[in-house]
Amino acid sequence: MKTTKDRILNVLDILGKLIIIVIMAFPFLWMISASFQTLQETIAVPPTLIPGQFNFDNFKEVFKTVNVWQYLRNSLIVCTCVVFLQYLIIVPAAYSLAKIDYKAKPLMFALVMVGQMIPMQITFLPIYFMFSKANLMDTYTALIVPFISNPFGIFLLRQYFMQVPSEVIEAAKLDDASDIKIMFKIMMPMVKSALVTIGLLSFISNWNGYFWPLIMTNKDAFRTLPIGIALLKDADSLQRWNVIMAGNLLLVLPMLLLYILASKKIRNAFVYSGIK
Amino acid sequence: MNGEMVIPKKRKLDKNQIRERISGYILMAPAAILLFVFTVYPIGFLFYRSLHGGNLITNDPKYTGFKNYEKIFKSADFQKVLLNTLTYTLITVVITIILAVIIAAWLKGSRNPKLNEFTQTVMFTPHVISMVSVATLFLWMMDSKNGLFNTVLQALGLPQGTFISSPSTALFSVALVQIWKSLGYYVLLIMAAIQNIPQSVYEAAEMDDTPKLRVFFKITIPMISPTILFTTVVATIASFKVFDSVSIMTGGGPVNATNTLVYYIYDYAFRYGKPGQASAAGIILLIFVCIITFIQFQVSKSRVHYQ
Repeated sequence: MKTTKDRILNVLDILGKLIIIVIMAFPFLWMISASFQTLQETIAVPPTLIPGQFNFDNFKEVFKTVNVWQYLRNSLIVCTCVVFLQYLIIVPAAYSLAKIDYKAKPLMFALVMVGQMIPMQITFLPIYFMFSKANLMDTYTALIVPFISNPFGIFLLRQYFMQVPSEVIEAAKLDDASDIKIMFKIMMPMVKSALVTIGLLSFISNWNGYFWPLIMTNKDAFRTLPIGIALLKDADSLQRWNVIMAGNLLLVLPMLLLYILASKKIRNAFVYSGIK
Repeated sequence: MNGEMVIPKKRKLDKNQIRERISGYILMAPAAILLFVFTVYPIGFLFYRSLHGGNLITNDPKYTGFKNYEKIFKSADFQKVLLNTLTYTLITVVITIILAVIIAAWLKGSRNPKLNEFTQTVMFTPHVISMVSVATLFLWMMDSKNGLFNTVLQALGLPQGTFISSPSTALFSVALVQIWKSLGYYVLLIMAAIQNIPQSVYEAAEMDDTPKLRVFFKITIPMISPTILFTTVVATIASFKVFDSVSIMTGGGPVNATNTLVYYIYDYAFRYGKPGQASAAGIILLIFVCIITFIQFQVSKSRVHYQ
């Protein structure tokens, strides 16, 4: 008796999980399929699941409608600069908070916590005023600099640095190593996994970011890919969903591939950032 | 207290200690300056600007006291925006957290571990995808004429949905997109918390042959309650910040049905050119975020269930 009941429960268990998988994965498959459909196919009833023929016509149309290469270039510049420049800022800050004693340290730590707490959706308007006064609108500076003092990064690195035994630093100091050398040559290699976590998270969030570049850019020369792809929807007055989906696939595919390649690592990074 | 012994020692720092202190400040300085310029100063300026009139290009806006606050609180638009933001937050947070706890406990169960891993991997995918694409995709699927949802509903002989085209369903539709996108993230966080429950607790329950539902309510939920609280706070603040999906799917419409706080601030500053009122609304958002963070601190201080 028990085995029959158990078997039924097992089938229900599998069925339930498959339903979740379909709900979560289907929209992506639909997007991929639509990118290859003709306009007729996108409005056909019943819906076209597998396109009649596979060609890149829709993608060509995307490149004709908006300046994809320019947006892609900007996105890559911004993401790369944020990921690497932030290390120059956050590694010293985290080292200072973890390993050096000075009076204003609690205040500095509070500053990091406030930075983590206050979202840019609150600060964007004053920063907009500041940048437009300094003629920094439509520049890479406006897209990069606000992100390189990554307070979460400082917080996480500080946790890691605190676990490095002080003897390691004392020994290096006896050898007359400078703080710079201790940080970059001795400490950084010891916290590689935290550095990768921080880099991955800021790459993903800057690649996907829409709000910030929307406010800081008005010219194609500095627009990032999410802005450009969102423009595609408005630029296409015919609402050719096959073309719009092809454009969106260009934005989605790099992240999808990255996630397939490093799904465990990425999920762990988000758990770190979530739980702290 | 051995203070008497320590004080004279402390007053005289040797050269190395002084050098170390200075290097502490120097190493912290770049980050501290940036954090000040991009967080502390903007908050101060936001408050200052909320007390002034003028438009986006006015150099010397006139001091108006709390008039901007008065104006927005008296306007029906802003009242609607506040109501929308709170409704949106309530819908999103309650549904997301309840579903996440149930699914996390389910995926931590003993049945089909390989499928559990795969389900979890797939569920998390939308979290790494841009909201631009997610919102655009749902905008199309929710299209009342050519959208996939209505085509399927019609084929099944069910009544069609209005989704974002009707004021009565639009806010819920936008919330649905957020729930779909972030559910996998919260499942992941809660699964990590369940992982940390000592196995011995479950073994004891198993020996007593406690029913699974009872284990879920009497052991799992109390043991992960700090994480549930924490994820609720994270989800609440994330919902307050909603902008991308509103901007792409509805532009705040129809008839203000999906206009939420951040979108309102953006609209008032850049479309209507009233940065004073936008700043006042920004201060309201700041207060919301502070209240939620404060509640989190208080609650996590008073009841932590870990051992």
